[in-house]
Amino acid sequence: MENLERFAKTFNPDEVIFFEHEPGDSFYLIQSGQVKIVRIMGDIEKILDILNPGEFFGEMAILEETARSASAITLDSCSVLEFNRANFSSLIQGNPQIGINLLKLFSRRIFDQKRRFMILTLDDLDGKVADVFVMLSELQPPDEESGIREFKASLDDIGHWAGIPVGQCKDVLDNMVSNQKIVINKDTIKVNNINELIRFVSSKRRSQENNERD
Amino acid sequence: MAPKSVKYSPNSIIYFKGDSSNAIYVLKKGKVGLNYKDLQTGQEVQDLIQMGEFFGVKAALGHYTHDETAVVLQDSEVIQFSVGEFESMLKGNNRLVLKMMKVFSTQLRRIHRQVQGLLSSDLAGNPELGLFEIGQYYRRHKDYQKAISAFNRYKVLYPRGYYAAQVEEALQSVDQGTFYKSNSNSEPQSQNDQVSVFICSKYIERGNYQEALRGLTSYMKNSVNQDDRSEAEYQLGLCLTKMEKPQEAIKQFTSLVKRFPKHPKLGQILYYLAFNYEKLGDKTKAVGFLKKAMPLLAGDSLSQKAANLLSELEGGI
Repeated sequence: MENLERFAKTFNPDEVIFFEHEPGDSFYLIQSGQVKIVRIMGDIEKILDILNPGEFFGEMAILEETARSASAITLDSCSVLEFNRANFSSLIQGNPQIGINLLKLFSRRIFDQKRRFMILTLDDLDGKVADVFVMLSELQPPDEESGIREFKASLDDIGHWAGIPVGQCKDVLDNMVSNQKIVINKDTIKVNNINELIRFVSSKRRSQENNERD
Repeated sequence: MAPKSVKYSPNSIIYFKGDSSNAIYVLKKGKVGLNYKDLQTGQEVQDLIQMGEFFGVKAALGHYTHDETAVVLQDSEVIQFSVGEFESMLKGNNRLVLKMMKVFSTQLRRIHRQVQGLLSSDLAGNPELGLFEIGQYYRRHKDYQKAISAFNRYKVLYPRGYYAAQVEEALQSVDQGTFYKSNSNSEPQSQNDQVSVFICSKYIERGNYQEALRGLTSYMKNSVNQDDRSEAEYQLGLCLTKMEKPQEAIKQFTSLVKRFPKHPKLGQILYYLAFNYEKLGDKTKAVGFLKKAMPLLAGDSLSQKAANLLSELEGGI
């Protein structure tokens, strides 16, 4: 990569690069070391992702100055490249591969957001929660053999994705447990038959569309 | 392998919605439409592809299934790239990368806003409170460097913020060495409990009397230190004065003087007693307290106010 040293920054292990809720105008590309992306949920620091060299974070800052949706904290000594909207074009000019990688990242983000939009626009709470499981299954490699799926997700995660308060989410999940649709383990939630949930969500979406048309 | 040219007849489908994808297309000749359901309205819509325009890019680059169906409307010719071929082509064309980046970022910004708009305000969050709570979280969990770092960033971002007084106190306690001791139990504390007298005094300065009242009452219930308690009681009297509750303020200050006759703020207490009696129309008592207060207020910011009130009242008696 050419002429990028002027954008380089180094961080010590366990140092905060930015906090969730801070306004952001920079995004980062990891050169060496690892960065964890965390969010405080309730009274727990939840690790959303661990990023490696070559990966970006904080990229929403290229689009607009929104508050950070999670904190970025180094796991070890880290070297990163820091960019902003002002110097972004010059970055791409000299390094088209970075631009291509960002295009790939944006493609995934657009898909994720569209998927989330679909969950949030379902009127029915049971439908929203079921659709979160369907979405999680779409992110896993396809498995034709069995309808059983196990997801590394918590009550907070499901509530967050479904856009509903944790209390309401718990009621829906408890109901799904008593109807033997899911099993809640310590760190995972097991869906007994994902195909049943896919059918359930489709029928909810169809009946909602029919109602809206009437 | 080089990109290949493929001819399609009308009504044929280049790809269906839901198909997995490993190819990117550019329209060389003819007419192609992308059919999809509009997220906002739920209506089926069709976008026409312009000549020379790429399509199917996001699904191929993001390794997702297509979220639209590409329908051929007239005899057409389409160039089909593999992801690798497309990337090689982009590497030599910065302008195209930037142009696509602009298109993608506009789409992402739009859908991001739509999603944020659907989230209830408590889930979308209050960034000021959020940052303050992150500092509190790390402090509770004894991760002091991160707590200090969060509070410092709060201070820069919200110098006059709602929690500025609490943040300031926390950062001052770092210098005093008490930051690492207080608030160190792992149990999360209720925000309304154990707010310090200093913070309550800041609430009063900012006119947030209800919060001050709640904090002081709770503090007085739990405090065992006499000095702290006497200061809390003084602040309570001050708060009631500012709330224009003269009778309650007089009761509070009178009780305080009886129990702490050598209160370090005796001059101020006597001034506020005078101030509140004046509000009730009892000028004689007001003048009496002002005369007692004056010698004790020498050098205090209230001294001039006391002198002015005294001359005003004596002129009127």
